[in-house]
Amino acid sequence: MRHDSLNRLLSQLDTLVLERVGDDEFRPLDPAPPFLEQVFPGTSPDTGWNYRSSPFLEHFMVDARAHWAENTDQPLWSEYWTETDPQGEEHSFQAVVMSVDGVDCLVIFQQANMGAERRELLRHARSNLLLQRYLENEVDKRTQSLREREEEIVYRLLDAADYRDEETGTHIRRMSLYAALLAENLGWSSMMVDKIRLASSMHDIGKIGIPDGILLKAGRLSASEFAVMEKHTLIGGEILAGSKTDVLRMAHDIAVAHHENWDGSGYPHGLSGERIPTAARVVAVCDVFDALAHDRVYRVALPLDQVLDIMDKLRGTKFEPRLFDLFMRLLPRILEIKEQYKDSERHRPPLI
Amino acid sequence: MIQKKICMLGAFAVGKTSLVRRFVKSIFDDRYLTSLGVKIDKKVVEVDGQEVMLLLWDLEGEDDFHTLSTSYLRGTSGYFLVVDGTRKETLGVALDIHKRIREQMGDLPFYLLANKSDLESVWEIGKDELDSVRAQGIPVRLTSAKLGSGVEESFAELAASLIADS
Ligand SMILES: Nc1nc2c(ncn2[C@@H]2O[C@H](COP(=O)(O)OP(=O)(O)O)[C@@H](O)[C@H]2O)c(=O)[nH]1
Ligand SMILES: [Fe+2]
Ligand SMILES: [Fe+2]
Ligand SMILES: [Mg+2]
Repeated sequence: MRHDSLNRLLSQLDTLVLERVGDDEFRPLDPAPPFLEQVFPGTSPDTGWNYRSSPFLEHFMVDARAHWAENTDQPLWSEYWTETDPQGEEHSFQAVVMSVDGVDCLVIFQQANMGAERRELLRHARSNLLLQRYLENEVDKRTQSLREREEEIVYRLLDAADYRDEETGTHIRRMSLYAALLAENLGWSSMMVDKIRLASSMHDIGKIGIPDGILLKAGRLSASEFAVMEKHTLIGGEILAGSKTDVLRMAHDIAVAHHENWDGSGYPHGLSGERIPTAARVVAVCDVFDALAHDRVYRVALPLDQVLDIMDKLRGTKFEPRLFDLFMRLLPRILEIKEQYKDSERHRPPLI
Repeated sequence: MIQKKICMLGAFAVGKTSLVRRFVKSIFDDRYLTSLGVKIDKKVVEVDGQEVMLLLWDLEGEDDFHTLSTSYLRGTSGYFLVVDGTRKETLGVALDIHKRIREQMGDLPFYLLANKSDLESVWEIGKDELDSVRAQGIPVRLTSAKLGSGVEESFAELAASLIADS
């Protein structure tokens, strides 16, 4: 057990393993990793190791000594911490102390990748918290006109979420205007129409949780990659969950269910028919139309007759028939919106 | 040279890291780079003709994802409670932390920094709220890590209190 964990520690790269040879003296057990001299100046494999250059470690040593005195094989982990080398580069570390077969050990890991990953995750999670809070606030305010708020929110959303694929600002803009148009013609109240316009803009917010390698892949996704991609619905649901505002509740329903199909063959839950929230059914039609009619990372835009052909075949399987028929009736106005909000050249993906 | 440890405390994204960067390096960055764990910066200041090395412990903010172990406060001579004026709830977080520290370490010199004063027009925390905080005996300073206003002064004031305290 002890040796297992020790071996696991040793097998890590960029790890400094020190044995405590005197009250305040440490000797590297292994060849010293490259970061040793760089980050802890005044240290070399011959002269021993000088932790005093690091106020963090000097502080941690107090806890470490108390821990060694207990002579336990339970590890004591430090917080993550950051050192800056003489070139100004930052390096993240974590230390652990324990006693193994009566030998006091101190192990220092350089958190090259793990640190960056954790940091990235935290940054996303925290940005989302700020964003959600911002949205609730913004939606509750009655002073600004809805139009202004919408613009600002969409802008912030894109900015904060920075999901980096085909979801350009214009796609989101068009999408939400199509959805509002359909809702209006379904007889929704103007307040509800305003709500779906705003809520639909967040349909793909969960994509911030999808790795670039999959999100930006130019070719077809493999089955396992697709399974990851599908998660954007559930991630979006988590981001938007638990709100008391109607708009965010609707946004939540749309984010989760916009890839559900009328016949139950969609994801993530395989819902069918009326069990799919209406707002999500509306968005599904608009999203597919806009996706087919514009460039995507993995293909160029299709001509309109081909788009409508494909969509017609999906009537009743993917789309609720009534909504698709409505969409077709509204096509002239849909195309006006499409014409009005063209993708800018800058956002066009390379046509490989 | 005398060394003094100062902890930067508060909710996440209130500007702890930015205040240290402004004070130590005179720079500001609009991006939000979440801190991981602990980072310690040093800066030498002069108090009454005497040089003091400040060790500024920038601790990852408190939030749902992370609570910093209080052992990292050990040996601290003073601290800043940082609040983001545009986010009301960060005041509650700061006062909470303050209460915990007092229970554990007794009275230490500290200042509450109401940061992001460049955005004062959209602050959620009002003057009366800050006044009622002051009425509890908590010294409040307005800062902007972005513009630099109040930053140098606040660090100098805390450094002076630390020397007076010891
Ligand atoms: N406008 C403005 N933004 C600030 C100020 N201080 C920090 N920020 C921004 O607030 C965000 C969080 O700052 P950061 O220093 O990382 O917060 P920490 O989590 O408390 O360390 C960053 O985007 C900063 O650019 C300020 O005084 N004014
Ligand atoms: Fe989607
Ligand atoms: Fe989309
Ligand atoms: Mg920070």
